[in-house]
Amino acid sequence: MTGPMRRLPVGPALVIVLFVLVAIFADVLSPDDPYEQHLRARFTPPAWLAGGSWQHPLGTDRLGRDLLSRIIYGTRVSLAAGVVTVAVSALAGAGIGLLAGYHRGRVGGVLMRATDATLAFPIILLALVLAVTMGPRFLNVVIAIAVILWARYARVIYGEVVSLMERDFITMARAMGCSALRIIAVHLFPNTAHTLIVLVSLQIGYVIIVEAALSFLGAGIPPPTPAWGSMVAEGREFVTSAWWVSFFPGVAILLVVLAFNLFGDWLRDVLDPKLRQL
Amino acid sequence: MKRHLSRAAWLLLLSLAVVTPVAAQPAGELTVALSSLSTETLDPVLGGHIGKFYLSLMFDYLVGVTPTGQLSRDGGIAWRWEASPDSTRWTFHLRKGVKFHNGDELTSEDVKFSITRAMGKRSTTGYAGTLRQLVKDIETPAPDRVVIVTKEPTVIIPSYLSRVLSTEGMILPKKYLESKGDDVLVRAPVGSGPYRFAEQVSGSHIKVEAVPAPHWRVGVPRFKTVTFKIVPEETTRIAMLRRGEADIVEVSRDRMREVQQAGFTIHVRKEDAHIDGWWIQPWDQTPLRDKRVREALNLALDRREIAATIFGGMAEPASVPFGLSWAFPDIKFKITPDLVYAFDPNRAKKLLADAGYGNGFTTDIYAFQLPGLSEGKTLAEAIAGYWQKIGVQARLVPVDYPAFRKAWFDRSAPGALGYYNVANRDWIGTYAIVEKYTHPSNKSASMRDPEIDAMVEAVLHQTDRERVNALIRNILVRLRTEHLGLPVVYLHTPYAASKKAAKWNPGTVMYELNLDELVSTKP
Repeated sequence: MTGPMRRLPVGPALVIVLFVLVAIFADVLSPDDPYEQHLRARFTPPAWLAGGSWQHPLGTDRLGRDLLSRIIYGTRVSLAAGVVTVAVSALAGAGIGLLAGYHRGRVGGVLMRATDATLAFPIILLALVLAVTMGPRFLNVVIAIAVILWARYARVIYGEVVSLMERDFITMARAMGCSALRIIAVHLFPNTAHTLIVLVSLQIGYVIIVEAALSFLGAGIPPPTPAWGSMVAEGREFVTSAWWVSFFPGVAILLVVLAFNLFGDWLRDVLDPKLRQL
Repeated sequence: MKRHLSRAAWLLLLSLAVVTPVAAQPAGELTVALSSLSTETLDPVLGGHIGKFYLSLMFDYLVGVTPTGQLSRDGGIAWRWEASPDSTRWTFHLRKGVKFHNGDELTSEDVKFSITRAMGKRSTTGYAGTLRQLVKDIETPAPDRVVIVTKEPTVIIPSYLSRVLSTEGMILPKKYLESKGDDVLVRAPVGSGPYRFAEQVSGSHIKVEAVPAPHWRVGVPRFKTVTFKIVPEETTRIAMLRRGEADIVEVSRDRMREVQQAGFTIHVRKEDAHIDGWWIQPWDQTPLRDKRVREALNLALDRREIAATIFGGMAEPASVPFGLSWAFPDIKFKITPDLVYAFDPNRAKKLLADAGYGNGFTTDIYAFQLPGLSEGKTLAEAIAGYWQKIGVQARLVPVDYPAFRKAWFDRSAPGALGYYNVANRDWIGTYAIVEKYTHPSNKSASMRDPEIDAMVEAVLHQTDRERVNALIRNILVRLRTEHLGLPVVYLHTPYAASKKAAKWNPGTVMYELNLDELVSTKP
C-alpha cells in the first residue's frame, strides 16, 4: 500500500509513544535504582524462571542491578542520542545543502566535495578516535555521529534545492530583488521541509543503532550509565549462563529501531513518495 | 663344547636384550592454551618476568627454585653459592658440562655476559634497575666460578638472579650472541634448558622441542614438544580441551565448575595474585592527601562480598597494600585482626565528614581487563558502586591497560584509581614490588612516604636477614596503617587439564607454571 492514503502504522506509533513516555517518566516507572548494585543478587534470572523474583522482573546483571530499571533509564540515553544527534545533523546538513544548492558554482562545489568526503568517512572509526582522545561520553557520541550524518542531509537537500532553483517562483523572487537569505529562508527551506522531516524520521532509528553499536564497542556511553548497547556488551560474556542480561536490551533496541523505521517509511510515503529509494 | 659355549653366549645376549630397558625417549606433545602470552618475546631481557613460564623451558637460571619458591641448589646452573663475610662478594659455583643448544659449553663468561646484558640499557626486565644500583663488578676467576661484587653489602643477589623473580638470572650464550648479533635471540633463541626453540608464529603460538640428550634439570624430557598457544576466547580454549587439542587451559573462575563437571581436572594456584588498587600520583592536591579519606575508601568496600560474588568464591579478602602472602612465611608476617578492613560504610561516611568531605567528592576509576583478571571492569564498576554509597562519585574511565599505564606513568590523571592483579611472590619479590611502587625515582611510584622510602633503602643495604624481615614487616604495616592503597582480594587462578597433566602442581613461583614437574622424568 503506497501513497498518501496509506494508514498510520498504529503499532510502530504506539511503540514510539510508549518509549517516549518511558523515557520521560523513567523516575516513576523504574522499580529500582538503576545504579544500585546488589552483588549477592547478581545474575538473578527473570521472574518467571526458577530462582527469579518479581522484585527484579527481568532479572539482574553482573552487579546485581535491576535490568528492567536499567532498560527504562537506557531509553532516555537512546532516545536522547537519536533526537539530539539527528536534530544537530539535520540543522547543519540542511543549512549546507541549502547554501550549496543556492550558490552552486565554486561555493557549492567546495561544500559538496566536503560532503562527499564526509560520507566516505566511517562513523565507527571516528567515534573510536574521539573515544580514545577525548574519552567516551554522551557528547562525544553525538559529535561523532553528527559529524558524519549531516552530509546525508546536505546531499539530499542540495538535490532538492538545485531542482527548485529552476522553478519560476525562485526566478521571480530573484527578479524582485529578494536577498539570498530571504530566498533560502522563505522560499527554499519550506519547500524542502517535508523531505527533511522524512529523513529525520528515518535517521532516528539509524542513530539509535549506531549509538548502541558504539556503546557495545566501548566507545559510546561509559558505564555505569545504562545504555542499551553497553548492556548488550556486558552480557555477552555470560550469554550461556545469564542470557537475559543481553537479551532484553537487545529486544529494546530492536523494538524502537523497527518502530522508527516503519514510522519513517509511512511518513516518507505520505510526505514525499519520491524518496522511496532512501 | 665350543658349540655349547656359543649357544650360551647367544642366550645370554638375548636375555640381556630382553631385560635391559630401552632408554626413554620424549614422546607426544603438551599443549598449553592461554589467553595471552604477554609480550611473546623470546629474549629474556626484553620480556621481563611475565614470559618466564615459557622462557624457563629454554633457558636455565643461575639460581634455581623449588616449586614453592625456595632457592634451590638443584634447579639452577649454580650448585653452590656463598657470600664473603662482609656480604659484598657473592661467589657462585657452576655446574660443569652444561651445554647450550648450539653445542657451546656454558661457563662463567656466559654468566657474566648474561647479567651484564640484563643490566644493560636495552633491558626492560623488572629488576634491572636495582641490579644496576647494586652490582659493581662481575669476576670470572674460573670457568666454573663467578663472583659478583656489589657496591655495598647486600643479601639479595642470589634471589635477584634466581627463577623466583624475573629473567635477569637467565643464562645466555655469549659467543652465539656476539657472533650473530644482539637481536638474534628474538628470532632464534639459544639457551641451555631442557627444551630448545622450534617455532614461533606471532599472535598464535610458541613451540619448543625436547633436547636430544637427557638434561640435568629434568632427565629425558617427557614430551617431544611443548606448544604455548594464544587463544583469547575462553570458549575456544575449553573446546580445545574437550577435543584433545590442548592439555592445559586457562579457565575463568566463572566457568571452572562447568569444565570440572565435564571430567577435567582443575588445578588451582591458590592466592596466585593480589588485586591491588592504587592512586595515580601526585595526589597531594586531591582529597586523597587526607589519610581519613583513604581509610574511608577502603572501609566502603565489602571485600567478602566481592570475593564471594564477582570472583565466585575463588578469592579471599585482602588487607594490606602489596601484602603478597607467599612472602609472609619468609618474613614472619601475619595479618592480625586489627589489620583487616571491616566493611563499615557508616564509619567511612563519618571519616569523610571529619575530613571535610561530608558531601563526597568526584574521582576517576580506570576500568580495564587484564590477563588473568577478566573480571577487571566488573570490579571497577563494583568499587564505583560501593563508593557511591558513601557519597563519592566515581567516574569510570573504560580503557585498555596500556592507556591506563600511560596515564599512570605520565601522571596525567592525579588521584585516579588503577589496579592490577599483582602476581604473588616471595619476600624478595614483595620487596621489589614495593620498591617499584614507592621509590620516588620510579615512574610507577604511586605514593610519597619518606618513612617507607627510608625503610626500602635500608633493606637494600642490610645484610642481617632478620633485620631485613623486620624492615619488610614494618613497610607492610606502614602501607596498611597509612592506607596507601586499596587492597581488594587474593585471587585463586584455575587451570583445567587433560589426563596428560592430571597430576601437576602449578607451584607458587611468580609467573611460573612449574612445567618442569610435568616434563621431568627424573625420579
